[in-house]
Amino acid sequence: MKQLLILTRREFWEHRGTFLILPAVVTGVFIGFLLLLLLGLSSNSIAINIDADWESEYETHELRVEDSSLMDVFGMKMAELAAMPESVREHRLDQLFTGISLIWIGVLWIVIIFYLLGALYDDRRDRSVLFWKSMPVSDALTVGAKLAAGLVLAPMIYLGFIVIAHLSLAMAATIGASGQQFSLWDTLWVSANFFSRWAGFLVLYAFTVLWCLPFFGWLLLVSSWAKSAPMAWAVGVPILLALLEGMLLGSDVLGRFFLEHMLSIEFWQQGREVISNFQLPEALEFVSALVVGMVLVALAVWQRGKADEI
Amino acid sequence: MSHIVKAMNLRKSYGDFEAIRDVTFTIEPGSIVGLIGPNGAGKTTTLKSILGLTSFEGELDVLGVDPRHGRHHIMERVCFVADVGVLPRWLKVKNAIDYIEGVHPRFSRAKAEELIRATDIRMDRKVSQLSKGMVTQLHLALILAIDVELLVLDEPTLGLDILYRKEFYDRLLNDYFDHETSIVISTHQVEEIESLLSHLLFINRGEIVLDSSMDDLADQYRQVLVNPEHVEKALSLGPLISRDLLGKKNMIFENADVEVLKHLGELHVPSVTDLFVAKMQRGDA
Repeated sequence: MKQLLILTRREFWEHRGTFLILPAVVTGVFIGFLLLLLLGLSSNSIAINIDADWESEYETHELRVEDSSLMDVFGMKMAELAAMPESVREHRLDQLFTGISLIWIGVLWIVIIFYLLGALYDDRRDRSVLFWKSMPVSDALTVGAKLAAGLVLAPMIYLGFIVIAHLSLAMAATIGASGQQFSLWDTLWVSANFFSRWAGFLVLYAFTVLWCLPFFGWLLLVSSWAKSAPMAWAVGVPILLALLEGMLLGSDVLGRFFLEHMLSIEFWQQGREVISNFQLPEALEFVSALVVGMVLVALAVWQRGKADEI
Repeated sequence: MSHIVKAMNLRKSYGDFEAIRDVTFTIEPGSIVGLIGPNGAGKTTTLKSILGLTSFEGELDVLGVDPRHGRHHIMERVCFVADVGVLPRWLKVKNAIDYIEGVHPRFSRAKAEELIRATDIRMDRKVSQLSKGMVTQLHLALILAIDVELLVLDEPTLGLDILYRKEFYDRLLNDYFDHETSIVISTHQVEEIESLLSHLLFINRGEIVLDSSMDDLADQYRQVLVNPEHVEKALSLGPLISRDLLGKKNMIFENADVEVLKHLGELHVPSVTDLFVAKMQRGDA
């Protein structure tokens, strides 16, 4: 356990830039943007109907912001929210906050992909594998720590920034809409369900990671084995396999499997529904994904045992 | 335990190329072994086999363990320095200490810090900010702070200038060697280490061509400055090498009768460098 902790810290030292600095900068830009809105410095061209991209059946409720100062955006939005029935308001806020989270989740996904792809490759390339392997650390623990850093540590940090972003947005709206007649506390802070939202993120994230384990395991395996261009192997082999399957058998089982377990966009969009509606077929696919993922990780460990400088 | 390392008929091929073949040797406790051979002779492959860093055929026992089955167990009792520049460039000095302290049960933080304080290396520096010589100093300081039974150095001073090379070996001998730890050093620069060795292994084209303690060397090998009138007789005794030197023939003999040799000319114990040249040229013939 002590070894696992120090190994995970070692990953953090190496990847501070993408694990910490990058989400901090994204969050900084986001907060800066909120400040600009609050100060009313920007023009209405950024009347980013915060929820414009979020198709919803409540579209009719949307206020059109024309030439008003952006300071008013918050006020009007809040007034609009206050006028809605509670369940509609909650749904609306859910879309808003989930939509905002997708910025960090998208960055996180890309960071994880590149991290895992380099995890067992970069140190072979710069020969430092000879140093790491001169330490009494087993290959399984080495790989395990890399998985833990990429799939647990980094997402926890990103979740921290999502929390900061959510709270900043809520604060900005509170400040912007201050002086209104309705209760901001009930309209925004209660209806946003922050704690269950963040807890829900954790559950959803855990499911997604396990669902995508074949993808992550595959990235690690390529990373442990490729002598050059790991990205090309990671992308090329699955495409080739899917094409071969299509040509020889005329089916698309592999292609669909690859796609579904790679990005799992459905999970993020309808995650709670997917999880709460778990039926036998989904459960079976879930378990098979886990097994495939673990086999790939085990292969990566085995390959790491033979790894040498390249 | 009688042996630190016992290797029997090690073999390793990369495709058609046989990196090592039938390599057999032992390393005794407390010895300093020089594994010496030209580039590509199989030195690194041999050392990596000992450390469990590569696959091989044959029998190998390192501190009672087969390295194929337990690299990380062996690494608790063996330290390894590959040539300069295997410390990752992004690593900070203080983090390197934290890391080794976290994973290595035999590491002494106090000793590492003391050794590093004796250099110009600052704790908050990254490896990428250090000169090549300083990286080597750092790596040496880190591993000297680990109490192990075997230290494996693979061309540890390659690419360093002479001042750092000298300091490296001085420090190794003064700070580390306590007659309990064994050291294996591979190099192709014989002259630098011959004074510190207690045992010699020459390797050429994947085969051990000489395996002798420094003490036995003097009995086994003789260098004779053969007077011109005895050259023919000397050649009939089959010298390893014969070269012209100041009008005489400089020959090196293996296991020859000293009583016979001393009538041929002036007798010497050959230097390791001369012996190395003799053995390697013989391999080429």
